[in-house]
Amino acid sequence: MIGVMNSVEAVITSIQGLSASSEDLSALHDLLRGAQDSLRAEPDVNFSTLDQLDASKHSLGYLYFLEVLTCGPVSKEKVSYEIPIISRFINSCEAGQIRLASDKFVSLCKRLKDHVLELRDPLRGVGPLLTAVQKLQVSTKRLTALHPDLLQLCLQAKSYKSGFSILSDDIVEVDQPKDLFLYCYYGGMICIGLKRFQKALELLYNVVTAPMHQVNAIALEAYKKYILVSLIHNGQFTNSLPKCASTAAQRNFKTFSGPYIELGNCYNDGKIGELEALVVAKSAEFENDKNLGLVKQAVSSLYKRNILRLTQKYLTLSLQDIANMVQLGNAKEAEMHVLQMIQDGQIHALINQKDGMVRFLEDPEQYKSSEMIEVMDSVIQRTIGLSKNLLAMDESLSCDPLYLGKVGRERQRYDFGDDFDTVPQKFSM
Amino acid sequence: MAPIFPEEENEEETKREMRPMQLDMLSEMDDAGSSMAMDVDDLEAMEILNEGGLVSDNKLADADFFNKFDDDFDDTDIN
Repeated sequence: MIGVMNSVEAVITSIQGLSASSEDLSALHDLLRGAQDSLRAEPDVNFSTLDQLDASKHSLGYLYFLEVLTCGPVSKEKVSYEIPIISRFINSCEAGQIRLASDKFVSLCKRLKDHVLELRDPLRGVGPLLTAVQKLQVSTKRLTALHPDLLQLCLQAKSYKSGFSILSDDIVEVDQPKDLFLYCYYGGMICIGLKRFQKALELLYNVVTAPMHQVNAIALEAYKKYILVSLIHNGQFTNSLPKCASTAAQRNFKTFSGPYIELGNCYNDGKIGELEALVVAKSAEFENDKNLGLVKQAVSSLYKRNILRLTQKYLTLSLQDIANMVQLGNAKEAEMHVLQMIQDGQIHALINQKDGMVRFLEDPEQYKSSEMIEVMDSVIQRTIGLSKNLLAMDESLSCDPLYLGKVGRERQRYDFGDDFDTVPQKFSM
Repeated sequence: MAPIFPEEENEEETKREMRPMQLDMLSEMDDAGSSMAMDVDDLEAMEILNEGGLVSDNKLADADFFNKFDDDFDDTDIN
């Protein structure tokens, strides 16, 4: 049944009758696409119309109606009214049906996000959006347009653990670059909030090194945080960008990140007094970027870095010696830092509180426990999986006409002589 | 509770005990990745058009992205 249906009741009847099989759903989808303009203009369509449908059985049709009902500007009262309706639909809908109209589903979910933010209640959107992401995703390897929205809500609600639950998948398929930039940037911030700095570095690294025609604002902010997290986690700053960063990034990031570059260079010198003075001098810039808290963590980490260096040189030291060497106020402060580092697993040491002596120990991990074997096995399996993905992507790229065309142009530019076959003419674009 | 060990050394002996010298058997590994900057498009054309070169603020892509989060990342932000 293809054609424009003028009657709302006829559309409802079609939805009720054509939602069972995939063939029927395909026909229904064509029908709904044809009818959506008239539905928008139909004054009889209201929320009570939805009572005739079951969100779980008639998800596709329900989605079309719900999207019509929630479009356009709304009052604050209507926002409060719509939030639970959209949330219930997301929880009840059938994944296979909503994927047929994924654009509409994404639009509806983004609307929910806007609504909860308008009410300053981001936490209300976290659960529904998490469900929405899981239903929209065809595979855990594919990034959806909703991933950044979910992470944004998690950050604003400070629900870091919910956000982290979608960061453990290895994303290899992306539709829109901006989605990837935001996913990695927001994801990096989620990890920072959980003090999972290694994972934060990986995500921020992905943004910093992503291909870009022009300097991307998201990547720039990610670079600033990348510098700070590198200081906190690795205890060092490298002036040059990763070699695989784009030309645009290599040429421009440093121009926009002056205070952070200065901070990194000063940190490398290891002089805490100068570092703290620099932070005070540049505090306005760091505050403007909302990075002052992270900057303070970086400053604190310099003490730890300097203590770590002592463990490489000494077997025993007094707390007072440690305080003097790393420029802490007194032995008590040194003890606090050493204790924290022991708890975080950064060093292995024993403190004799009687005489204030610290004995630095070797890492007791022998890497032969069953727990460690499980960790190593998990890492190996993940590596094998990623390697297979990479091989598949390489094979697919090797057959891509656009790629072959570019290779053909490059080969014409560099004359390799008769040693190489030329790319077939049909691929020269 | 601080980890405690029984006194073993003579208090008159030096309180700083240094580690034996260790040879650095492994040099620092380079950053992983390719050795060339990643070009999205034809580099020469982009240079002619000043694409990918120095840019001003108003040429930042996605400059309107949401980034107005609270600054919570200090040591007191424990999860």
